[in-house]
Amino acid sequence: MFPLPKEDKKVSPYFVFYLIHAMQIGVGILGFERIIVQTAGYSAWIAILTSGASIIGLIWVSYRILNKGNNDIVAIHAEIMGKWIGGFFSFLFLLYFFAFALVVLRSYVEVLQVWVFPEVSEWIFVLIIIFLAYSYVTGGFRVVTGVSYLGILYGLPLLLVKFYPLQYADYGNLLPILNASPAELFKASKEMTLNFLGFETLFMFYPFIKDGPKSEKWAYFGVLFSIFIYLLTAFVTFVYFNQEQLKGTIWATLTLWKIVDLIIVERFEYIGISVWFFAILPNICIGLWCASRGMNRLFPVSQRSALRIFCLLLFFISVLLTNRQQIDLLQKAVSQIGLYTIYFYLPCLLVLQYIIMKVKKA
Amino acid sequence: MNVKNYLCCSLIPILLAGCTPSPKVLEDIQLVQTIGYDYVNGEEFEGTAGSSNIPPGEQSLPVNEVFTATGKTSKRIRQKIQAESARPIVVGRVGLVIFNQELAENGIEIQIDSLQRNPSIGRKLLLVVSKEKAKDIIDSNYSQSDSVSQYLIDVVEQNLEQTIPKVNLHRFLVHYYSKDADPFLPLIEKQGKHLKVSGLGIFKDNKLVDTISFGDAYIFKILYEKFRRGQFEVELSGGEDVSLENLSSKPKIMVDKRNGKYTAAFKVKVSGRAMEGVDLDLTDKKTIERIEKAVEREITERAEKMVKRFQELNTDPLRIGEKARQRSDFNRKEWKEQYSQMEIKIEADVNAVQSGIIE
Amino acid sequence: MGFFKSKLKRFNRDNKQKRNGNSEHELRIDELLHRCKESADFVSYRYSESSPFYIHYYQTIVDINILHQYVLPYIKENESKTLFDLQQAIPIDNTEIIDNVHEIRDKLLTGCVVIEVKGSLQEALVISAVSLEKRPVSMPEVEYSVVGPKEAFVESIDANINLVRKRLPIPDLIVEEVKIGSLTKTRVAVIYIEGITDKENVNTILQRLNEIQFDQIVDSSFINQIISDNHNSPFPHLIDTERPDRVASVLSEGKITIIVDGSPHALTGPTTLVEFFSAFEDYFLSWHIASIFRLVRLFAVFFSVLSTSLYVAVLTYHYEMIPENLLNPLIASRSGIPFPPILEAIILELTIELLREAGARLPTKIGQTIGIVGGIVIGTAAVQAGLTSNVLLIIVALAALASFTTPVYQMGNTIRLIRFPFLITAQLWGLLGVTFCFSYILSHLLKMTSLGRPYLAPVYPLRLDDLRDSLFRLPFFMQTKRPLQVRSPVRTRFQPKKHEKSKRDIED
Repeated sequence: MFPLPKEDKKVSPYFVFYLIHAMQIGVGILGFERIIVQTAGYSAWIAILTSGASIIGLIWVSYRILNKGNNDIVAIHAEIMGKWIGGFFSFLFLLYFFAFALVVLRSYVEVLQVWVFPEVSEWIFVLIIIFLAYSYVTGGFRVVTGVSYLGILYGLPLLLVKFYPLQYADYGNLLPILNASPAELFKASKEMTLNFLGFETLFMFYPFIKDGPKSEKWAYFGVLFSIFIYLLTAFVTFVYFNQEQLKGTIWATLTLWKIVDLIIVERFEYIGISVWFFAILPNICIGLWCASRGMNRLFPVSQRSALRIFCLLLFFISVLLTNRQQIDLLQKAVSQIGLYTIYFYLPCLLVLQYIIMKVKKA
Repeated sequence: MNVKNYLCCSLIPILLAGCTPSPKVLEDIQLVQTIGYDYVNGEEFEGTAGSSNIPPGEQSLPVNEVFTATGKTSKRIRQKIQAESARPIVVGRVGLVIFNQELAENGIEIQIDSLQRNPSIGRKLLLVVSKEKAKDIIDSNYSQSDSVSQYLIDVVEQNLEQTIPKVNLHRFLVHYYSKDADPFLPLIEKQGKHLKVSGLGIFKDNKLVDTISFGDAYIFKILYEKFRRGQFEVELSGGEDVSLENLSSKPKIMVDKRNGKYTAAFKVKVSGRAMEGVDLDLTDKKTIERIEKAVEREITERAEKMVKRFQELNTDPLRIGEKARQRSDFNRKEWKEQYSQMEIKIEADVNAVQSGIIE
Repeated sequence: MGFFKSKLKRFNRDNKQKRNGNSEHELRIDELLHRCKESADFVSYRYSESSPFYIHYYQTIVDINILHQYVLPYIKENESKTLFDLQQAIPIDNTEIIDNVHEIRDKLLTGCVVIEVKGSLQEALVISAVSLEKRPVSMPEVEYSVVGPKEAFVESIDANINLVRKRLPIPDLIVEEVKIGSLTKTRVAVIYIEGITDKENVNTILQRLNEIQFDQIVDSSFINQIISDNHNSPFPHLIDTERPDRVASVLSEGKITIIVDGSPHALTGPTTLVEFFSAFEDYFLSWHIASIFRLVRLFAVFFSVLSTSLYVAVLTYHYEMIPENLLNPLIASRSGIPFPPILEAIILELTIELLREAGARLPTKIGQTIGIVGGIVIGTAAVQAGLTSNVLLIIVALAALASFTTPVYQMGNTIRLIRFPFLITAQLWGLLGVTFCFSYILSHLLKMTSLGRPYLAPVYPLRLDDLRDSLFRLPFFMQTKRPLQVRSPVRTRFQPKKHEKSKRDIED
């Protein structure tokens, strides 16, 4: 009923590293510092570690489910809960993936409007980015993997420019080291988890990995690398900004780029935002790919037409979101859903799968 | 390809035409390079934008262009200036912002806010306080062939390296926002055909409360940041003038809390080469020691006087409070209460080596 | 597109009909001869009144000496009556007796002498006496190298195969030949090394070659375009080279070469994007130098593609990015110029293209003059007239220069072409536009394949082994494996001698 993909459509296990890392590094990293600092002050870096650790645990859970099911979430749902209920849950997953792409796209376009071209209406950027994403997704999963891999490759040099703000660093900012209550830290960890969302797409592309179980360690590496990037970013931001200043800085990383001076180019943020496009494009592509692939598995539609429908929807919804409040609302909603999905639904699914497998065997 | 496809293809550029940003071609815009703010009255202030027009040609010299307008907000002023200008005014390349002393004494909150809010403004921007009207500084001629704005920026920038603490918009904002420190800015004044950096303006929150002299600014720099290639002159007890060259200095602030009472201490390590000692035997160990002692005394005395003054004004530009905050037992209320009375020690450790190419 | 397709289809149909029509009624030898005689260069005569043999040939493609020395005397000496006897007598190896008229016709048209006996209508002796005009093997002109072999392919397929085979004297070197082109009947040879080359690649090529429906194959570039994986791609799918040494080298890597008769260029594949930026001369230099040259070339590509569009983007939208000390010179050079940067850039780019095109079309000697006229006179005049800024002139000239560093000519053209979309998007959305355009080209490259193998390899999919000879070139002793790209059944090229770390002391 749910056939596995052909061998030549699959990618090597180590690409899971890039796929998961690319999904976790998105628009969030441009401004996550402010959010976690608002709750936990400059001890918030601990929250990055704790939430990262919890994500590693969840990856473990995910792999247990996937290795046992040996297929994507749609097939696993159908196996556990039957065609209708399972299908319903799978559909919710698809909507979530779609909403993920939507949030990333809309947030990035907002950055473009605020920082680069305030006078351009958002629909034109939305249209171009969707067109580009469409051209990637039609290439199939291999191409989508390619863009996440290359996206990371292009994004990495951006880490080098962190050197410039360090010249203005005040390392004392980080002291005293533990200055937040456990409750504050917990809240900050929760906020931080939102930045690690996106690894759930694993449930959709798992069958496309050659020798799926082998990819588990790469998934961990991917998360560890994300944790490293977030920690590094937070560290540089913390020593560069004063705490009170940071609390009012919406896009800390972008503001930080303003100090970069590459001799022939000043005001690095314009380059940074452009290069950052390659970090957010994989998010949109993978989101769209997962959503359209799921549609194809659930309903008798071709993936291409499902993709077209999603692209249209993406366009219209993005254009309808006009102000910051709406975008924030959408962002909050999606991240809340994601939070509950990973922390409650996934463990439940694991238990449920275990029980049903036992029953079926008996 | 059928007619429909052709139609679509030809429509795309037409549609796109309305969706591209309005170009700001380099030579068609009026690049503002310096901004000056002057005090008018409690509500309004005067903004001056200094820019230059560069006539075509490789060896052409820039021609100054200054716009002035009065208004309640920066936006309003910008609109008024725009009305005078032949080309659209842009502020993305502003390098220097001058606040008139009177305005600074009345608070510069509005101006700072508009500066940091604008995404096209960088963070390497220099801010200074001027004794004269900012307009007079921008709208005058100096003995330099460069454009006026460039000259002003160069003068300030050069001094930030050598003689006064490094501060740009970012540094200023860090101090400005900090709950435990207060900002400071360089002070400039015009002297004949030259611009001169004449000290520092010390702020309390967003208001200028004090100015310190050029010499004290140097002491401030020694206490404030690590630097190299400085220079320090001192008069020995015998009346001889000696200078320490190639001076490098490293300050350290320590805040201690005992029985709920804060004390602070500055430890400054200075090392340099003794030079220009007319009639002094610089190879003599004793002379070197005398020089070291003299420099130490000079630094401590002046620094103590300066810090006392800051305490009296209840302002903390040396960010002692930031250092105190880094203690885990920090209590901001206690600190604020104690700051003006607390004991602040200054210790200077000077290490001089003989030098010069002549013995 | 649709228009083209329908035209192609119609063409194919016509072709088929013609062929069917031919085979429907058996062609007889006298009919064939009759048709041939319409050509003025066709010679047909009876050897002598007494002789039973009739001799036919196209005098323009037959080596008349062979006929005079080795055929005619034996007909005279030998009073035989049958073709078989004659075949035995003639001291030429390449003779056969053919009874298929179509075959006879083909032989006749490729330079054979046909001898028939009046009466036996369907049989003829065919003697090969081809005389083909060809130039001698000469220096490579497109892929010139300072050091290394100086041989280049010529227009004769046999000479070309000869150049390859003498470099690979092994029986495993297989040459498969197909004839393509309903009119030109071009001989196309597919060369590979049995055992090293993946059979699937060979089959892909042969299948694609056999599927070609086209009337004329004049040059190898026809084949390159027709069998490419994506017909709408501006990027070439196979490398074309005029160097037999390069061909021998890629063959031993497990790749396949296509040589087309009448073309001095061989095609090699499957290939990757980075391979287009490696000159064969890289292998003649020490590996450090070669690696740096390759990186320089890669940088040149990016510079050539992006520099003008970045200039347009920054000057049009992002003046904030220009540092203080560059600002004044830039404004000074720009002010007074009546065009916006985009127009200025397009005009200059087109000028360079004009110069290149004019230089390419004209004989070499005049071409040089064009370069001087264009470079010095037009450039200086344009700046002095205040039509373009000298900064942009420098950038455009450098970009053009950079685009010529690409060793493969076809790729150089592509690079110059894709500048224009970048320019346009830079004008539309500044730096973002450049990013968008780059990302679109990337999506195209990611989707692209060469003979079904990923084009962006070894970068994506990441193949660390292949990286040893791609963006840079590591020393030969590290190149022990054939690239993964070609899926060679025998991956090891050679067993490296164990490099024992010398434990000897300095002075031992």
